[in-house]
Amino acid sequence: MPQFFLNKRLIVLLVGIIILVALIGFSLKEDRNLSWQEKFIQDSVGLVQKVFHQPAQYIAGFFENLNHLKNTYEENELLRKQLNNYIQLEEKLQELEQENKQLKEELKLSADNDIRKYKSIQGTVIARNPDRWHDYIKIDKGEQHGIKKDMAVITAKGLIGKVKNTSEFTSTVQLLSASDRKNRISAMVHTNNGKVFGLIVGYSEQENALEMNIIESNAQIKENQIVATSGLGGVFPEGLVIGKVKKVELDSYGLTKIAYITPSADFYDIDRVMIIERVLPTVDINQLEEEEDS
Amino acid sequence: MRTFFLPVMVMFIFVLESIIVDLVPIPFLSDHQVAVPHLLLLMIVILAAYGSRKIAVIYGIVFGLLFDVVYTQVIGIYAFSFPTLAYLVMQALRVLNPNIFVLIFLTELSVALLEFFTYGIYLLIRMTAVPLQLFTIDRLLPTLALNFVLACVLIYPLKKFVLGLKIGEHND
Repeated sequence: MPQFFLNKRLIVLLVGIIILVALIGFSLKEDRNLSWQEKFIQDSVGLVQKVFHQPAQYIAGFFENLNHLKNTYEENELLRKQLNNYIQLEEKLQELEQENKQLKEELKLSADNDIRKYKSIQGTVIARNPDRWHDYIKIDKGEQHGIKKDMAVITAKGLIGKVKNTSEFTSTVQLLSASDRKNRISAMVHTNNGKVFGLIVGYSEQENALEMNIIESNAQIKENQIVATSGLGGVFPEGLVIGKVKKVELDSYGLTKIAYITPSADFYDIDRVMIIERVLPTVDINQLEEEEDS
Repeated sequence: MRTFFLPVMVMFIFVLESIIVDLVPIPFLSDHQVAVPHLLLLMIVILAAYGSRKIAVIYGIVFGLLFDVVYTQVIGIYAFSFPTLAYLVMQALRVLNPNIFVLIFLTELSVALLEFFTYGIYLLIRMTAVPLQLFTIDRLLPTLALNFVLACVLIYPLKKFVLGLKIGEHND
């Protein structure tokens, strides 16, 4: 047996495995904030990534433009048709907005406490996780620019994810397509008879769509109805577009409905993003419990 | 002075990997198939073959740790697997002659081992729920194909680069 302990390689391997398990356990801790060492590494590597990523993005953008040039004519025709509709739509929107404002004034609702209001911070993508197990992207704005954990991140097309963690000058965004069961978002479907609330619980690989649990089993949900955030989760504002309903199924117990949602944003072609800060302050559950206790 | 180029080069490859995944569309892939370019692993395999064994293991640990902290945020997986694979490649090259075909084969083998190792760990800590069959078709095979092409193209220039640094114990 002593020979067993004299084998240097074996001992190095065993120590390696112990360190591996310890480090994985450490990094899986719930609600972990980055340690200052990790923040330092994130920031300094982020600087290098920024230097290389921007020129690469210009080159990629150039090739993409070349591709677009091919079907410019057809696109132009289509857009011209849509533009006419757009003007009508805008007029209608202005009318409705004014009406809404008047009604609110009559009801004496103050505009400051609106759950729909938000401030946005512009950011640029500087890296993407190359091992494609988790869909993370890294953006060039961090704590110094006012970004906090769990903020919503959108592109012009719709919601793409939320801030997973932050360092001083960069932050990591977890995309909706990441298969993380803890990544839950409170959402609602606009149906013909009002809003139906539900919870987005994850991404279904088989359907290539987001999975949404709806507790009201008699809700009339049809295809192509629009899904947006409800703001009831406490961090996101209300009304950020997520996508459209692809199909609706009963779950295996027949008690709740599962709606599959095609996201409106493209998770692969992301260039510029907006980080959303809700104006209405977030209620901290831990604080509430403490107050109740005392 | 020449050894100064090595960390710069490896750092560049480290950043390049993310840029490729983000910006370069990989042809012949369907929507849910994923191909991962393991350039950093390729570089470490070449360092193990043509550079010194100590440097390969040290670079494996340092850049593996960097990879974990910056990209995957689960610390330990790559920091453990990169040096281990570097060591295994060196053991294999004791019996095998380090020509380009053997190196391509060893790269493919280490990519497959790395993929299975990460898949196993993620399955264990429930970060993924993909069944083995889907993993093989949607991830492993495209990844192996992509890395085969990358290895064929990049092994020769990277070999020249590493030999040019003159850090090897066995320059040929």
